[in-house]
Amino acid sequence: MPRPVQLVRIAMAGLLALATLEVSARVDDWITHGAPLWGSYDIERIYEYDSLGRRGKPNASYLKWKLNDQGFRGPNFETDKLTVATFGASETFGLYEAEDREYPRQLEEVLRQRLGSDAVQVANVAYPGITVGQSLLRLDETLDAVRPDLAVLYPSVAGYIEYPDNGEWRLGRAPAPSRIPPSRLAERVRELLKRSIPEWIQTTIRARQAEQASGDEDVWKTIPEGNVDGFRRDLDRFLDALAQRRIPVALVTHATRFGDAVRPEERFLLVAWRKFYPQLAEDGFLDMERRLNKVVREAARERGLPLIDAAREMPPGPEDFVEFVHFTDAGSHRMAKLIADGIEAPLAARLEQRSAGARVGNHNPAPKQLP
Amino acid sequence: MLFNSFEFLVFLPFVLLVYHNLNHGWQNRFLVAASCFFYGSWDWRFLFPLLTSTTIDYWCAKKMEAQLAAGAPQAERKRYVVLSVVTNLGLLGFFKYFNFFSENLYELLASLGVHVNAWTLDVILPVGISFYTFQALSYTIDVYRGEAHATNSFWDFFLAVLYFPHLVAGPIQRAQNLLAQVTSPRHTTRQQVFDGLHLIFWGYFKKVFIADNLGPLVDQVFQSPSPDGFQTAMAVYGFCFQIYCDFSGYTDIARGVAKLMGFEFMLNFNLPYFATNAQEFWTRWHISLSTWLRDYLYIPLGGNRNGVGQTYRNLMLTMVIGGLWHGAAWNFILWGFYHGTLLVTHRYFRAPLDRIFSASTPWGRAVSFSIRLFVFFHLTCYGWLLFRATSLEQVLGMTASLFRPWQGYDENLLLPVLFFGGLLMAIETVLYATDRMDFLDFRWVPAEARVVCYSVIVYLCLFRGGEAQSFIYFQF
Repeated sequence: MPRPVQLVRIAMAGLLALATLEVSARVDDWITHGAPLWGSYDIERIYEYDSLGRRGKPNASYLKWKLNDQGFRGPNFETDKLTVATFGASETFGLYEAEDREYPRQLEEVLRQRLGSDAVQVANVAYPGITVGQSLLRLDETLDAVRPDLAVLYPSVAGYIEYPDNGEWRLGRAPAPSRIPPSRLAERVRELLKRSIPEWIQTTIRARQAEQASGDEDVWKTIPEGNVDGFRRDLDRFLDALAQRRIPVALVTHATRFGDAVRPEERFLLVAWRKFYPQLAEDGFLDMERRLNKVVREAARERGLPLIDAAREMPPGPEDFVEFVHFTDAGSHRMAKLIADGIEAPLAARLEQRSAGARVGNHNPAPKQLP
Repeated sequence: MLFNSFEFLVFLPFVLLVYHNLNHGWQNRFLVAASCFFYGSWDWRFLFPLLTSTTIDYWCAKKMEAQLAAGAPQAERKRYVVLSVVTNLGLLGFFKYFNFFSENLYELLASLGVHVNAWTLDVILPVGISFYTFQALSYTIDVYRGEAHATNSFWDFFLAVLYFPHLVAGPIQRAQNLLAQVTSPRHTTRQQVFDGLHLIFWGYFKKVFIADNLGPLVDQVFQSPSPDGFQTAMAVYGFCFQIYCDFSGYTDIARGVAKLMGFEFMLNFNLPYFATNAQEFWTRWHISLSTWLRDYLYIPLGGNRNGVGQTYRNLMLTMVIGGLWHGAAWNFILWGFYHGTLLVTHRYFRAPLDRIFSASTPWGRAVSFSIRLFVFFHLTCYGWLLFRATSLEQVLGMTASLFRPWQGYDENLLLPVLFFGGLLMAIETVLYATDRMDFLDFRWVPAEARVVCYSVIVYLCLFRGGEAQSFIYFQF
């Protein structure tokens, strides 16, 4: 066979192989998750957009993430139950935990067990990548939908590295539609490489990417004080809004895998974290955690709110954290127990009040606020 | 460095690239260096016992060769072969069996009322020591018997033992076979590349897609404190397919890699679950070990030359020692004893069984074959329960569970075992029907369809394989 013909045949075989791999990926998604064969299949499936920006799409699902009829993660809310709403970001929404093992679901289990009653439910109203400031944009909408008896705020602090210049947060916008659906094979290959390539190689690549992304701009050693003030303002506005509605709040400080200091063998995780926020040097992350957690503790003290100091009480290390901030199933369980410790007493009182009302024949639904 | 690791996928192309650009002498030196790197990547200290045993074996073989040339009687060569055997088995005993025997002696004495301090060693077991010990022993024993010549190059011998594709889990090569390939120039043929790539491909499929997906299910049941009969049955079927795919997958990759460098390794598995009796099973399962045990243990013990009683004793001893070779634990000894019993029973009842199962029509033969296959497959499966269990209590508990009423079925166990086991057996049936022993090459389908088949299999291995796990036989 002449050489050019041979080369063409090899190229055609290569293309056919790639096409087969892509089709295999799509059929796999279809069988496993009921994903469409054509088009894209990514996290965008659980979102919809309105004038404010991104929000959860009711009854949408993507992989293990399933939203309820209100567009929040977890089962549908029941109106007759005592409701704890958990605000936060990806740590609360749940990323790495198995299905139904994210801490709000485990918190519900723990509370029901401790209170000996199924009359408590936990509404997970968090979305990945949401700052306290961003959650304010839909706070009224959320509270109307959930009507919580108690709120728990576990703020993700890294979003305050990129505090908006004018102080006005916006929610994510819809991505531009693409004519050609993105390759699902490429996504799998990326994941495979992440799992297979030795960590030191990945760390070198990430460090280089972070350096390139920061470009000519100065890399901050610590986040500016203005960003800390911005966090304080957002937190105050959030707490004011809930106070106005007479919804009690429990605050939770932000925990990381590192605790107070980074062990040398875990430094690669800081590099991985920095890849998302290249303008902040690695050591600035722990400083940021300390400063913003201080704001949370001050707010709790000034307002007399229950404080769950997860930053101090969650033991650092891989048992509870998959990477820098996201939980393992065990970590979520520990977080659920910590929060339950902090809110169990007021919830028990509220339940008692309800059952007392039922005993004296009060058939009117109790007002949805804690004593 | 595991065959299913990223490091190996970088290491192998590099080795092949350099290897094929060197002449024969440098190829051997390079392979010694590459194999040292491969083995040392686990723990560089593992190289010391290996170097010790190969140095002594090389020296003993040279001495025996010199005496043979001088016409000295065999008895004079004996002390060198004894030195070699003692050194090799001594190292193996020290690293692998010392704690086992020490702990059992301690327990025995304690049960007799004698209390002494248990004396155990805190040493790590060098990977693959059982494999390379047997391989090195075959060399000195063959030289002692005059069946092989001692090599004049230490590095050639060292390479024959150390060569990375077979070092940690075989196949256990005969010294004369591999040394001949080390010492003469090798030319990798187009056919060897074709076969080698296919073997590697199917080896990864068996290991990554079948064995690694079944592994967690099997572990889940074997770690459960009291599994019921159904769970036990599924775990045993699952382990039956897992261990075969794990070990034969490793062997296929090893043979394939060797072929890419012009080496030929012996066949180690020949569709073992198509065996219809114990004797046939051991000509199909881990062939390199079973033939080694036959040639260096069973026959020297007398084989079948001294009457029925001694034949049975020799069979039993060989299988028990073969079981112990797998690991320093009572369940391996029990597994060896079980297979010894199967061999003895088969030998005893062979004539009546042959009469019962003889059939003159094709349908009759098919039915007879199916019954024997089914029965022996289940006997093999029970053997795997003994092999996989971690204690005698577990063996008893799981065996008892099989005979108690089963509490329904769990489709999370049933479906994967049916799927992966069925897939494997379907492939093996095609190989059996087409009289192939190695791999499917889809030769009968058009080239385009072949590309599609291979791509789907690649997809399954890359993206649907189980969590990467070490090869089971590495622990031996």
